[in-house]
Amino acid sequence: MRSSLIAKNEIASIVRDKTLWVLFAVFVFMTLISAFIGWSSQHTVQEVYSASAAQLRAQGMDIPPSPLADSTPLSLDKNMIIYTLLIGVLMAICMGHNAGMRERKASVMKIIFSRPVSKLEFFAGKILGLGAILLFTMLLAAFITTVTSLLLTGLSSQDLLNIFGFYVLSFIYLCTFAMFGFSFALVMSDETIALLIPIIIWLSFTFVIPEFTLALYPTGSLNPVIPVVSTPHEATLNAIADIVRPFSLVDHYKEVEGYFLQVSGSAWQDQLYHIGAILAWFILSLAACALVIKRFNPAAGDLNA
Amino acid sequence: MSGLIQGNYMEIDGSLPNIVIDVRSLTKKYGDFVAVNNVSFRVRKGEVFGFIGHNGAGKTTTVNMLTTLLQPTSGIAKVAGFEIVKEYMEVKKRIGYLPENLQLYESMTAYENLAYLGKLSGIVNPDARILEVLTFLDATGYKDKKIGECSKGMRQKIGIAQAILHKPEVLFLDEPTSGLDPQGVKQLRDSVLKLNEQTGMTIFVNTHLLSEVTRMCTSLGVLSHGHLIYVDSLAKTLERFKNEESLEEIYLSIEHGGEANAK
Repeated sequence: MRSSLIAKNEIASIVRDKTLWVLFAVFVFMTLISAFIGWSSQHTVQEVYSASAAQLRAQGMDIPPSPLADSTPLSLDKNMIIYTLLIGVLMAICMGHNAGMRERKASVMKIIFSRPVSKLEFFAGKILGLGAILLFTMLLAAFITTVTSLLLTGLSSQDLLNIFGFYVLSFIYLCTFAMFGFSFALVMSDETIALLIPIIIWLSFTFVIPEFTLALYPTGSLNPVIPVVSTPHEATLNAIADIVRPFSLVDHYKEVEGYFLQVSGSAWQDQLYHIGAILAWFILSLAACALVIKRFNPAAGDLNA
Repeated sequence: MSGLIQGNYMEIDGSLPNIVIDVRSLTKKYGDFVAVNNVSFRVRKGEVFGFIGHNGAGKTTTVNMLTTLLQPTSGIAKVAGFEIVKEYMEVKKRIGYLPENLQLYESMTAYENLAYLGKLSGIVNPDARILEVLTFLDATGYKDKKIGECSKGMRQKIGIAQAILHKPEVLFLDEPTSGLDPQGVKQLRDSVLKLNEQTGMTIFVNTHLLSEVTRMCTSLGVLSHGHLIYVDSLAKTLERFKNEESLEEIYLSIEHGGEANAK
């Protein structure tokens, strides 16, 4: 089937792309050291606590409980949330952009579509190839997380399921932004603007929209805890946050991934809403891509047509 | 009947065996702008048909319709016996196309480009055919060279190679000599002529270079502002306009309604 041929070609092209290799390598490297960074942080905190507890014991004072008493093995990898949001998504956007631009820059759209290849076959193949590379990246990251966590802390079967859930959702999250990169690459006549727009979308989701939700609270950016005392203009801030929150893809992602990595303490039932929101954005990105493909004109598809 | 000037429909000669391109009242509109206006002509098997006209005349739009890349607004056309709208997949199986400004995948070698495009055309194991085509085009030396390292002339050869890999019945060339140096132009012309002579392939050439028409084509059509104003065999054209000293003057004469200049 031609779609599988096109998918294989897409995979080979992505593998040949040295720029993407840099982003991929950075992401894999950060995944590799994520558990170590988490372990190192916790180890430092534990050492400080132990020394403090010893001093307090020597003075005959009460020793408060360890702040790490309830920490879980997977909490060592909580930095993966940020690495995925930043490096992972940037990598996905670039992969999507390159996938959409490749044939346009090579001016081969006309010779491809003058062959017995339908638009559906071609673009399905491209998206499959792109998805395969992102899936491989997530599988590799999952493997690294599993091995590093096993070596450092050990894992239960529930932990393994949580790692699986974390990376499945990350894959969906990355695919959403990859589709943005892909769609704009097919639509725009300027290569730079085609990459800039999905990056601006990503920056807005990651840094701007969250400013109107959790970050409204003075310590919200650092510690997503609802304040116990009233803050100025609290009612207005709450109203703004309630309106914006459903659209804050990053907040939904952080909530669910915080659950999977056992750092949020929330119940699984609470995650259904967030997972639904992430899936809705994913479906929206696919629908937008489908519309772009439907309207794509092969005769004018090449960048220098 | 032959040699109708400034007519919209023309037969190359009275009998019409083996028609491979049959265009009837083909029109393409973009809003109010009419890019191709009610164009009709026929091309026989084995001809090298030169489609000439000024920039923006509608030549590429016509080729895009005939290669099924663009849907016509009205009219019908058949290529290799199949209708371009209703039977577009059958048309695609039987045509080869070299568009203007083809770049190909620069990070892939010539062989890899041809293998991929050959498989897209339905050739299961294209290796032998790739070698055969590259030998035919005297381009075997480029086989393992990355396209990014190839000159424009080399790319055009590889461009022709991809267009003929699947042995199409009709080959469409859009401004094939664009950007080539004189040696590249000659090599390309020689390849096209060899292809026509040795395989009998019908070749449709879009060009605004009249020198190439005289050297390559057996018949020609002249498009002006979307209208087909002339079509006939090259020999009859040269005979009809024997008072003109060059094909450039013939072309200008046709463009400006020069039937009075005939004979």
